[in-house]
Amino acid sequence: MNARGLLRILFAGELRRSGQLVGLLVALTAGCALLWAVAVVSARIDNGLNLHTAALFGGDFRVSAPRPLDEWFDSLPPELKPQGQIISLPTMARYGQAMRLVRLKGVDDGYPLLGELRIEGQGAQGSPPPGQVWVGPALVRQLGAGVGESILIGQSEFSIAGIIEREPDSVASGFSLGPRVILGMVDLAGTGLVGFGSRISYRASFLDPDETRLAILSERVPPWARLTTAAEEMNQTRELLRKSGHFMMVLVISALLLCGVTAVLAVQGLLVGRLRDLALLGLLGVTRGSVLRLFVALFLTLGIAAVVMGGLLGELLQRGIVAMMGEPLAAAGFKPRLVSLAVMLGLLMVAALPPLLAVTAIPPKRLLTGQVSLWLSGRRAWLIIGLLLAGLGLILLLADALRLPLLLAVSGGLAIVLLARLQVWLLGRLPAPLEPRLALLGLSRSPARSSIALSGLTLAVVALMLPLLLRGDFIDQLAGQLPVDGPDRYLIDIQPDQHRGVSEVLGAALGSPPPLHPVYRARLTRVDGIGAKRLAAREGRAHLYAQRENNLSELLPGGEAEAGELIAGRWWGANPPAGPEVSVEEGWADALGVDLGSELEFNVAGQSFRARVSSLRRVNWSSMEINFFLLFSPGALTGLPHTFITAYNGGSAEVPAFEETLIRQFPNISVIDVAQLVGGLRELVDQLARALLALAVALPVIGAALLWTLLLTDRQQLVREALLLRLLGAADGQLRRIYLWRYGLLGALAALLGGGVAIAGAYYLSQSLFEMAYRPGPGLLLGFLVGAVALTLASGYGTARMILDSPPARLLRQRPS
Amino acid sequence: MTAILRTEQLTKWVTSGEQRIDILHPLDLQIQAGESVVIVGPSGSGKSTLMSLLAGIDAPSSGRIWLEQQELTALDEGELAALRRGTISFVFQDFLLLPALTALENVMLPLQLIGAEAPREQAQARLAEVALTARQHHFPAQLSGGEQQRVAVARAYASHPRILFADEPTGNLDAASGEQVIELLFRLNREQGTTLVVVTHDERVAGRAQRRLQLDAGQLLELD
Ligand SMILES: Nc1ncnc2c1ncn2[C@@H]1O[C@H](COP(=O)(O)OP(=O)(O)OP(=O)(O)O)[C@@H](O)[C@H]1O
Ligand SMILES: [Mg+2]
Repeated sequence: MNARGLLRILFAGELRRSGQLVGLLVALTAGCALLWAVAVVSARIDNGLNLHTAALFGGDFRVSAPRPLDEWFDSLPPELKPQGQIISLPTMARYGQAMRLVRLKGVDDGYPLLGELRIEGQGAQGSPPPGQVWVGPALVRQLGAGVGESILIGQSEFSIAGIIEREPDSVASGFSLGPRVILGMVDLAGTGLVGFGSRISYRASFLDPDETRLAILSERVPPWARLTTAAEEMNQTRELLRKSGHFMMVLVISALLLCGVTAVLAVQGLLVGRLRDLALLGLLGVTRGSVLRLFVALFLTLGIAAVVMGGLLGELLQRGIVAMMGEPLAAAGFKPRLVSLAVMLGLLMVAALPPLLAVTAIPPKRLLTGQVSLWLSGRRAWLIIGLLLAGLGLILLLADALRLPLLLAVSGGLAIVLLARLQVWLLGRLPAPLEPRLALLGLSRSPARSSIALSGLTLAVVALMLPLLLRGDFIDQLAGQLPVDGPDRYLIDIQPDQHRGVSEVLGAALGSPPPLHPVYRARLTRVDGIGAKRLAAREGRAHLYAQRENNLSELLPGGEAEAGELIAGRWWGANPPAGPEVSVEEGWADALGVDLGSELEFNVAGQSFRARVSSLRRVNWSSMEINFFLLFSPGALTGLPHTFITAYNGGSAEVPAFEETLIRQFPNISVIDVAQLVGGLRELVDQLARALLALAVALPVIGAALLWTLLLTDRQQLVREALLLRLLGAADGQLRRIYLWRYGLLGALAALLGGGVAIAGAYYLSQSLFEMAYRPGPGLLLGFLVGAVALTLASGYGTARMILDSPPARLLRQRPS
Repeated sequence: MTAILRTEQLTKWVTSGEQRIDILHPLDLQIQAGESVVIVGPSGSGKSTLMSLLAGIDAPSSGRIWLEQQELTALDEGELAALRRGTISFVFQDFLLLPALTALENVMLPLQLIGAEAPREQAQARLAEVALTARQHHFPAQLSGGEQQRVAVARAYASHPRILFADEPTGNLDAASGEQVIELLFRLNREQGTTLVVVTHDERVAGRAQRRLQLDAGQLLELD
């Protein structure tokens, strides 16, 4: 019979000997499903959050001005032109005798750029047809005009075509009081309102997810216009984005670790069980190449089957998780799916090739004695290492999202393998009574294989623990970001001479007036003598702070607690400093390289002044309270032109009655209603928390299943050893104790080492990524210790039962396979 | 002389699909304490099967076995194991040493398992008897086949068993090594009074036993 015929027979034989192959298939499938689900859901959350943020803002960035921007657009090259334009102004709407102040918004054909404008009973819509308007529900109530009836705006009459259910960029278009009215840009021109109104706001929105145009445009913005970005303005969602991104990265690392461990252990288990077959093939004259091809084909077949099934399962899992969340998800595209499949197949091959190459290079005689190591040595080792690095490099090239996770996983994995090896070495040297020593026989005498097994278990424990360790903190933090009764309405543009009047109205309405913060609009000119131009060229957000206006304020008496948590320096206290000093938000300071003692120079309305940095602050932007990047010492800004800003909780009423009084009395003041934003954010956080929780729980469940199958691959050898001990006179109790020791020790070591690494990892990640104080939960570590020991013991108990119940003659019939 | 092992209508069959294959036909046998018995017969005649049944490491399909006064067929696995402890030892064709233990540790193991005193010294004495003192710290993989089988014999005798079962102890050895192992087995049988049951194809072994049994297609015949 020729080699090919022989291979065909052996291949069929492999498939028939199903036990281990099924285990391997199950493990790989589960791993693949897990990786798929985690990768896709992460991508969807990430895309969804980005989209959500940009949609709330009406684009990735925008330029707004009190006068038309058309001329400026004309000076721009075509690729820099905006995608959408909006003109908004407060005006009166009339229906019969009734009149109402409304917020008029003229939109172009492309509206809305992002998100959905939902009209009651009509679903998602764009800009209204000519002669028609979309109106807010409050207007219908207040005017008594229904859908289909006509209202007068300026010189034109419009028919109400529908009631706005949800306006995607309502936050961005805030700024004045009254219900919303949306109409087409051409219709707006026909009203005759544009050109005479004093408070028209022109806005151009840009889609620019990869921020290529932002830097170019920010240099070209005329001085009377303002450029703002979604990422910068939407402080709240930015935090969410960043932190959930980090958390998902942790999940991906964990999933990767689990899959890698699965692949390595499963393949090793399978190969160790085939040593004799391999020797036999060699003896029968089958070449090494043929054997390699046989096993590569076998693993590829298995891998593809696992990837197909795992992909399907992963898609189901992913959809299940998504079904629990809904809105903040966007489509993920094919990339995460393809990448997770490729990574899984790659992992399998990377796990399979080194031991295969090693085994096929060993002379059959040595294979027959079973005393072989699956470690590599010599030239071949370098070849494999080269291949591994190349594969890793390829993955890194393909999947930028996996870059950091992979690097972390690889270095963490290496550290664990080394530690496991050390543990095994130490175990071999411990003087111990008979039973634990017998239990550890296999461990200490074949350190390579034992280290792999122990590392596998340990890595699995880390992978399972890390998300659970971080989950609680992370979700608590998410929930804690949104205050229950935080302010949802802001008053801006309060003039200094209106300070008392506004305070009185608010005081009467709310019981005690909220503090009014002064706002000074200033340009940064120098930091420690370095000009703004050079500062703007720095990486990151520096250009946002160095090129555009910054809002400065002064610390109000007793306002220290609200201003944030000091991370360096100190507050001024009762004695004001000799010269002007400023407390700087840490992100702002970071972006511009500002530190304690730095000297900042600003320009406010043509007047230049300097201040020394006396403290750095961490601000919780999600609290919705008013806060400032730059907070000056009391009196430091006296005499400079400024306005005031304040915020309060408007209660349940849609528009608090006192606001009408305010606006009538002080028509220049604008009200910003962020109730919708807060509501949207809260929903977002809830959904995010649910999705991440689902992922974080799915991970350990699948991981535990994986571990179980992995422990089973070790079984055959154990049964052999145990039956032999039985023949030599080991009693029931002795065998049972040996297994208790073996599995208990293995589980405990893995749990301790894994727990240690996981806690260190969680500590590091909390500090560096989540910026929160890490609260180690001794309960969880203990739980894992107990869990890992219980799991391994249960598996060991199964093996022991099998041995205790079966006649040892089986051993003599079942010669080592 | 009293019978140390006795069987009554002992049979063994296996089923493969619908078909029943009889390995041993009803079989009555007595083995006296201190005897040396060889079982010969063509390949596939059921020698190893019979030996496993006699040693209580496999369960018969029907019939009964007594070890002295104790009926083996009435015991469960745990009780059988307890009964075997220190009473029955084995030597197999392919040695079955624990690869992770040195020669000395392999010999010590049964002593340690039954909690014997001074296991190390006893094991060293056994190894000296099989002339392997110099190799006591070597692992099985470092020993020749003959040396491994001598370690196995030393291990089998270490716990001073009442009966020693050996299945083709020389099957994997060349003539000279085989001779050494046979010599050892019978010497210890003589000196310690251990009952010796050997399954073999080897004429030299057969020639030295006090009693020879032949199995042929599951039927037992007393030779001589
Ligand atoms: N579990 C089993 N399933 C099927 N057949 C079996 C089983 N155990 C033993 N046999 C069959 O029983 C017969 C006797 O087997 P046994 O191993 O006792 O033979 P033997 O006399 O020791 O042969 P050899 O000298 O070749 O070792 C053989 O035909 C064997 O195929
Ligand atoms: Mg046989």
